Amino acid sequence: MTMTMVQAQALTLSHVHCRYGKDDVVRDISLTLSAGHIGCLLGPSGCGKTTLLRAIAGLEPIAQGEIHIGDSLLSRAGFRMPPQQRGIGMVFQDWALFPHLTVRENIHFGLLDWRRTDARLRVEHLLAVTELGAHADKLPQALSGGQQQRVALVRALAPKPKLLLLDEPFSSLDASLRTSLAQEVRQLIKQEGMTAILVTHDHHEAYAMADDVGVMMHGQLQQWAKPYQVYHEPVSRPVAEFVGEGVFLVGQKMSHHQVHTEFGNLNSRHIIPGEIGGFVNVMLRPDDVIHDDNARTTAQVVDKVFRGADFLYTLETSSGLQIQALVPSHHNHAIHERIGFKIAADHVITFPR
Amino acid sequence: MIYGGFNAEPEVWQHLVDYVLPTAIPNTLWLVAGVTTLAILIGTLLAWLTTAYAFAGRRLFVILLLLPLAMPSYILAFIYLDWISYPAPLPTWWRAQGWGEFPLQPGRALTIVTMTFGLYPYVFLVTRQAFLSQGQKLIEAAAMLGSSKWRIARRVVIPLSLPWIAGSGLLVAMETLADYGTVAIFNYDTLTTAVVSTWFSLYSKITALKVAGILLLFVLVFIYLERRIQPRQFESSAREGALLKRRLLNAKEQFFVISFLLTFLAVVLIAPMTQLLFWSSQQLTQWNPEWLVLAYRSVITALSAGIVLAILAVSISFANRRKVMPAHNWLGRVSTFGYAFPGVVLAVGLYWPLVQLDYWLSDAFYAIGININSVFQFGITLLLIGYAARFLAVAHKPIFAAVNRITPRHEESARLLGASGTRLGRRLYWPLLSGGIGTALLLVFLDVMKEIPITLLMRPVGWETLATKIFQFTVEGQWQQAAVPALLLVLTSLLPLSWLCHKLWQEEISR
Repeated sequence: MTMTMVQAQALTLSHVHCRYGKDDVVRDISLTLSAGHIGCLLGPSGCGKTTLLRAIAGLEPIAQGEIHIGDSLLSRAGFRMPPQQRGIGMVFQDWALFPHLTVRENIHFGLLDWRRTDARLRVEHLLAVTELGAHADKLPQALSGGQQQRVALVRALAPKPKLLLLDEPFSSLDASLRTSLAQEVRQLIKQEGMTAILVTHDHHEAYAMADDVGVMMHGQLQQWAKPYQVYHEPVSRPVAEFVGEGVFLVGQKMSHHQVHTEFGNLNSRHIIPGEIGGFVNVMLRPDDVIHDDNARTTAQVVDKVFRGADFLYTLETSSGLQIQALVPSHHNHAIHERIGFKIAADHVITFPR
Repeated sequence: MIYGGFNAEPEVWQHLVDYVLPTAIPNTLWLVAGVTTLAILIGTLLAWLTTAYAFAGRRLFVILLLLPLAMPSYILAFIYLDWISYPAPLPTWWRAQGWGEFPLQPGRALTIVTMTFGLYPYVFLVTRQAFLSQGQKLIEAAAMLGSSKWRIARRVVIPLSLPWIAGSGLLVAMETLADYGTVAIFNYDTLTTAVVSTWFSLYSKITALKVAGILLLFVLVFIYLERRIQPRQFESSAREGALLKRRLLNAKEQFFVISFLLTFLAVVLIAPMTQLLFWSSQQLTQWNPEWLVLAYRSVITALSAGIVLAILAVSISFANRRKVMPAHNWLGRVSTFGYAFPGVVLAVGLYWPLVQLDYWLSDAFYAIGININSVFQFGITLLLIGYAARFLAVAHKPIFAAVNRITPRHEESARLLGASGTRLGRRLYWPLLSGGIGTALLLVFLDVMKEIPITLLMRPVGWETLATKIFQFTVEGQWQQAAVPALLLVLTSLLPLSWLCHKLWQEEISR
């Protein structure tokens, strides 16, 4: 088996089912991830995303369907190519660094079949790129969380796998490190030209890392799309709630593409569900609500969360409806103050009530 | 053994009930209570002195205080017995002062003290680890919450260490219950001596089983207690942090601590070793080649037992983890029971069924045309089975811990990085397991080297080891004769022990 210079390849899942005993943990999942793209499986814990990832790695069997990388079949019911033959790298949630090997030896672990000089160059290159050089001869236990995370990533990248899998790789790090490291990891994966799949329950992480996001719930893939689309055009209310903040207003369907709400008539690009004259839920993201001191409509600030660059205000309109607004943080308003706002959603998303 | 409980010969049993058990049972209880309490006091005190305070030679004292692990208490026993005998210098000097009879006489108090000196290192080792593992963070956290020094000790340090102290105390209790050599040398009648004397002097193996059954009842109480304590041993979340800050003692305090430690070491280690060397030097004027044969046999027996047990423990640990056996949990648990069973109980309990099985097997082999006299009594097989039953727990603990350090994620990572088969073994399992296997080998070696009852009861005819030879000489009162084998036993035990000491020393240096 050689793993030198393998080109990134597309991953295809068709109708994949995974079963634990009698339970279908993963149900009928189909998706294609193009070569060189980073995909993300986003979902609450227990949605089956980790099981699916382990199935792709070959650590779990699949009950139905097929998994391919490029043209080669990895898994189908009753067949599972052994993990060590797949050429897939994986970063585990707890990183699973070998405690008896130094950083350098950990990274070198997957390169035993390489020519000695190639392997050495590869390890030194990766150490340099990730600024781990100074720690190369330390044992993993002596490193900080962020450094250990990087070692785990580099170890998985080192053999140039066809596909890289990351299982909640940032969950044991503190929040401030997560975003910066997510960027760094994305860059490194892109530099290496690798196809990768990340599993997470944190939509910020998903947006920061991924080219394509798949939202999983109850073992099923709800949506597979670009991050922007998942956020602004979620396919269902549960997905909408999971992938970002916001509120749902009640609106009356005026026509197939127009809905009437407290804030006037709003347009929808998609056909609004239900009968004309019937009621629907209208999604309003915090960034759809714009603070404007000159606006005629006002609302009272009932809560605010400082997020650095902006405030997330919770506003209460005169009718008692609560909405959320994302406002640049130099607009510092006190709680109970009334501020002007307008709705800036050219197009809204609606769900059946 | 249960079989024996119902079938004892009535007249032998009546004799025991009338004359032996009324002294043996209270004697046993006193001994266990006394040794356990004293060992906990001494062990904890020494552990605290060497972890919480800094003084000259502290690291060296840590090592020295462990060395009595190589000195079984039955060797201490005959040395002390000699020192307090009527013509010895100390009692003679005492009488010359006109203070009357020398107050230290063989009896309960001396037996308790001697056994404590042999067993305190267990408490010392475990408790020291408990103190070290707490680290400074928890203490600082408590201080930040406004606790006084005493309150920190009472609410943090002691409660966190207590499960470990209690656990090591139980270990000492079980060792005490299991002891045969020391009590036999002191002529202190306990349940273990009752089992052996019923077996050998009254020739009633079935009644011996019944006495062993009583001993077993005590053991079951301890097993129950151990199961209760174990889950309470907390792993501190803060153990990664800074380590306990030692307080540097001032000159006066240092003087007291150091002289205390030196006096203690003089009594338990230095003076007895000197005595052994002195006697041996007298003996060594005529070289006896049998000594080397004895040492060789002891080492071979202990090494084979260590290897057999390491293999067993590795298999059980992996089976346990992979959950390949339906009985995996049960097996893991039973394997740790053996250590609680006194050697004499195991010996008499195993001997009977094994010999019986042996007859059947030989008959069976004869029937299919293979003529062998014995299956188990071939060489030291029977002896190894006995050791395996008794010391499996000793090997199981470090190996189980090492196996558990390798998480399924590690295996999966290695596989995904292309390692399988022998490479997986060479690159992942062996480096991570070798430490645990080494520790297991070492501990089993130390235990088997000094084990008397199992060796005595289950060895092939004429198979003498250092331990049995020492025992044989000392019960005959020939202490000087016992000195050379005793010295050889201590020295051979010191070799592997030095490896443990080396590890501790490295740890101390790196702090």
